[in-house]
Amino acid sequence: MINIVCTGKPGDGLLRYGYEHCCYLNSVGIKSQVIIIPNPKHTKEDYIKSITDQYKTYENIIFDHYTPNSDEITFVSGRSMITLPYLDRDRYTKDQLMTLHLLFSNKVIAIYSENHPKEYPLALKYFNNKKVYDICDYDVYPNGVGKQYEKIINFDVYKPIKDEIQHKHLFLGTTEIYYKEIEKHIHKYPDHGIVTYNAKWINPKLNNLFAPINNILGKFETYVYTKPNFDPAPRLFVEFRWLGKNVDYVRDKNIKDGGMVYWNRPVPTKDIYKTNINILIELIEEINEKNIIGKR
Amino acid sequence: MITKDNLISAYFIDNDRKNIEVLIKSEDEKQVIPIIMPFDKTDSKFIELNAIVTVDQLHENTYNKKKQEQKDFEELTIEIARKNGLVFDEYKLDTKFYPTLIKAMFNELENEDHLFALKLALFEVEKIRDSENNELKKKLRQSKNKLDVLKLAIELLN
Repeated sequence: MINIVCTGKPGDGLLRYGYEHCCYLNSVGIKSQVIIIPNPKHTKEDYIKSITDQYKTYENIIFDHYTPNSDEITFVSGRSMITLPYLDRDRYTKDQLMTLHLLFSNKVIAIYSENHPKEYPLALKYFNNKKVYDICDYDVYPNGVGKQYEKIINFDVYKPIKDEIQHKHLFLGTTEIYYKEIEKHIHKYPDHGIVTYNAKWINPKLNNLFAPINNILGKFETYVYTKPNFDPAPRLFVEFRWLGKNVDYVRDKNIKDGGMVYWNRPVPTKDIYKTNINILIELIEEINEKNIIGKR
Repeated sequence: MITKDNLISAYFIDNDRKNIEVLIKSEDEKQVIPIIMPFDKTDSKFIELNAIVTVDQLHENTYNKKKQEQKDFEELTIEIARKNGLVFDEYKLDTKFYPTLIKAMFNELENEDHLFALKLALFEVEKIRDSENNELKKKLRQSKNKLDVLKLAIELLN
């Protein structure tokens, strides 16, 4: 069993990448499940809605309670999935913590990221982890570790997108930092919608649309990419390109992160997806082989 | 003379960071020669050193040296404490440990933190973790009392 752990928020890309991995691995006969330990500020329903809104299926997802055997492999689509619950450990229930301990003390495959360089080793120690197998997108993290691996969207599992255009330009303003950046450009885009939350830092004079939004990809003509800070694996502009829609790259092109890297990559096809995920599958097979040898 | 080739290390030796110790190898490389010099940018010895080691590097070396000394000290202290039976050695069970073990098991039976630690330790036991009796494992996880946890663990081990 591959246990794909998600400790992020329901709107996070990491939940989506995790679920898409789960769908693909099951489709090729590798039993997998997503184990969601809800972020203390969100409910199970938020996660369920997030998945059912976007994907054709809702399956192999469990919440909070799971007791893995020692030969099961844990997979995380970013190191922060391990670091965040360590940092927030006082806000989880004992049962959630038990699940996390049991999952992270097993062999872990982690997609390399650099969000909490100091805290990550402490988190591994806290969860008594025995071994991490790293995989890394070196175009995004040149100083990373592990085998080359890219986070790629599995469009095969997406629900069809209904074309129901409501505004020309879409902006993503789900954090105060993103929102402040959008405010610098928004005057050039009168027919806009800003996807955000009903927070104190939003400007009520602008056309704010509160997340989650059904069929978001079908409601806009153009996505305006403004994210001012480090973006390891952008999804929204890849989704717009996949649909043949426009994307405006309105951010400093000198920011060295996934923004420019993904901008220069082709829209993922089935073949591209398969070639990439086979790297992960080979690693899983290697670990399973070691598990079998270890138990002889 | 201090050169790139014979330099081993250089760092401050006082809290005020006014004096520097430089360690160099002797010509035959069999000895380590310490040189003490003031942190004085007009001092000829310092100028010689500064051509190889920057002031930032000196500060960094000092920090690393202190950190290492602290680590060595802590390890030595724990080692002495272990030898004298003052701390629990997780790799070598000592008979002195049993009274503490019994206290831990049979006092504060419903203490949540104790229960958590006990269950976690039990799930580290391969026979329990990998048991196919999922019903018992579930019960163990849900138990609210140390005695129940122990009973279930024994059942799983049997």
